[in-house]
Amino acid sequence: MSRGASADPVWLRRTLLTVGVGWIVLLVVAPILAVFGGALGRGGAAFLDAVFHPDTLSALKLTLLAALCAVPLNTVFGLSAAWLLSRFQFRGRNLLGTLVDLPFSVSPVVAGLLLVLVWGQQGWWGPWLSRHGIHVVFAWPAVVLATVFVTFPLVVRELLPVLQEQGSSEEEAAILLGAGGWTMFLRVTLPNIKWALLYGVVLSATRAIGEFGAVSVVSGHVRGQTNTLPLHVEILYNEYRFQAAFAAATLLVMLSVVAVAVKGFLERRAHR
Amino acid sequence: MSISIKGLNKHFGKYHALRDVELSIPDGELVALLGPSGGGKTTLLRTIAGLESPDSGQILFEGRDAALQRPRDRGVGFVFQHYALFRHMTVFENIAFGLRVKPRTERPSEDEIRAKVGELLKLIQLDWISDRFPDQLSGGQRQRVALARALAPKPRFLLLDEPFGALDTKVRKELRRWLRELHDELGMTSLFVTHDQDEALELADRVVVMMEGRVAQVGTPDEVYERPATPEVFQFLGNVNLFHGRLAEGGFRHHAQATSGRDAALAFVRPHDLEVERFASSESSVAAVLTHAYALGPKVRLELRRTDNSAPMEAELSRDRYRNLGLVAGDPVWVTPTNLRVFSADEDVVI
Repeated sequence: MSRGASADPVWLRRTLLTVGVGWIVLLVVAPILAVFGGALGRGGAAFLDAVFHPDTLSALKLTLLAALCAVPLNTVFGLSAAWLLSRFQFRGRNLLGTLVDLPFSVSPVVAGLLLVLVWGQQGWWGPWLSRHGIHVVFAWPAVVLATVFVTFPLVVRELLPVLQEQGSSEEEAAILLGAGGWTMFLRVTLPNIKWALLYGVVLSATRAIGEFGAVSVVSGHVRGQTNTLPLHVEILYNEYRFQAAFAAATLLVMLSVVAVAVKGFLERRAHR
Repeated sequence: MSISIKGLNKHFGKYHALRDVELSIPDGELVALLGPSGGGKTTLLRTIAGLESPDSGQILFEGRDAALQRPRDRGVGFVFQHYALFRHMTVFENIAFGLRVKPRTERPSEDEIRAKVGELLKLIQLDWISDRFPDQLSGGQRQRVALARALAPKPRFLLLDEPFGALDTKVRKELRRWLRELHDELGMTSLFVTHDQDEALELADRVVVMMEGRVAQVGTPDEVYERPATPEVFQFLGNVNLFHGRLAEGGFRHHAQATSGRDAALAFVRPHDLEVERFASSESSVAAVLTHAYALGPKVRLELRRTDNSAPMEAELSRDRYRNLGLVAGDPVWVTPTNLRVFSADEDVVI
């Protein structure tokens, strides 16, 4: 093998490799192993007991429910908003673009407090709702709302640059060739943005599953009812039930691993 | 299908893109919309297609108001400047698109689509690349695919936005000739936008010159080139030499000849309408100095500077004539306009 002018010396390559791999092991691999170690520390039976505990399952269910509500809602919203921002010129367009980013820039705790302010007992329409027997704050609807709120910019932000870069002339061509709006969207727009869209969906799913701050403010921590998986882990940990906390955490880690795998797959497809 | 346009106006914010455009395009003609960029050509084309809606005015397709039709029902074939091919579809699927999206009752069968697309691929001489994707094609190939795609649903008009703008000179020449043949063969009404005067003059039956959102002149290529309607059109269509002067008895007198006379006027002379000699041959000759000469194919282009006011001038001679004169840079010469087009404030006269 011949060495080009740009090739680094062997010792440098080895050092860089060692530092890089060491860093990842220290920061990522070791903690993940620690989570699994802690979870299985008292044997498989105790692990399964903790995983299949009704409170854990209920937390898992609520986490998945929140994600299943947030992802489709934000997909539809994200498509519409990205479309609006990239294809039309209107008054207040820049303002809308800024507002879309707000849930990202504001602290999740503030997001939770905003929800309490609007939907809570002393909030704007909280009293009217509770008179009609609808409880939002400290019940599952608030958990869903909080999750939707914090994941709201993810799909838009993935789609917007792609839509802007592609411009609208393919869509105009489709219309002039006789396609209706819906046909145009399905056959011309969607195929061009599908990888960005899927990527945005995966990102918002992982964020929805992992969300802690905003959900923590509005959930009320009712065990077996309004706890999500991250909240459940925290409660178990604060009660010094480390093994159970680690067991619940493994569920979260596995969901993340799936999401990262899907993301990696999508990235490879998109760049082909 | 004829198109007639009445009192069309279009603004983009404060920018007045189309100003009272009146135009009628007879059935079966190949028409060029010619003008400098920002003149409103593309806006007019997009408005005819229905991609922009006018602020006021009417577009009539064979007497029927186009505003009542959705863009997709206008029967317009449109070729975009950068082709706008569907990048995720093969050449075949690109061309088939207009057939596949027809309403169920009018949609041809799969076999008919296959036959029709095959026919179009043959027409554009690209039947061997039907499985490729747009990014695997050259510019000229993309252009032809875009044209085939526009033709597939049998449009009544073909609108082309700067169709040859992004191609190199040789491909552009070929495609021009090919478009002309295609137009004659298919007998459609076609309208194309260009900023290239050669392209417009060579290809079109009729040239529409657009400037600053207005139609400045409509005519055959000969009429537009020989008798430009305004000084702006004259200057846009090729190189010109400008003479300031006055209208006097017997016609135009430029400043070097006479200072008395009635109205101030401008005269334009094409480089090939300037005679260059060693000696003054008429009272309208002006003295000049040759600054530079270069060959352009069979012609020689001379850059001159007037002795009286140092204004630059440009003349074009045949190689033979240039050789006989035996000129070198720095030589004094006499320049005589042989064909002037004169514009005054209120009328124009040709000498």
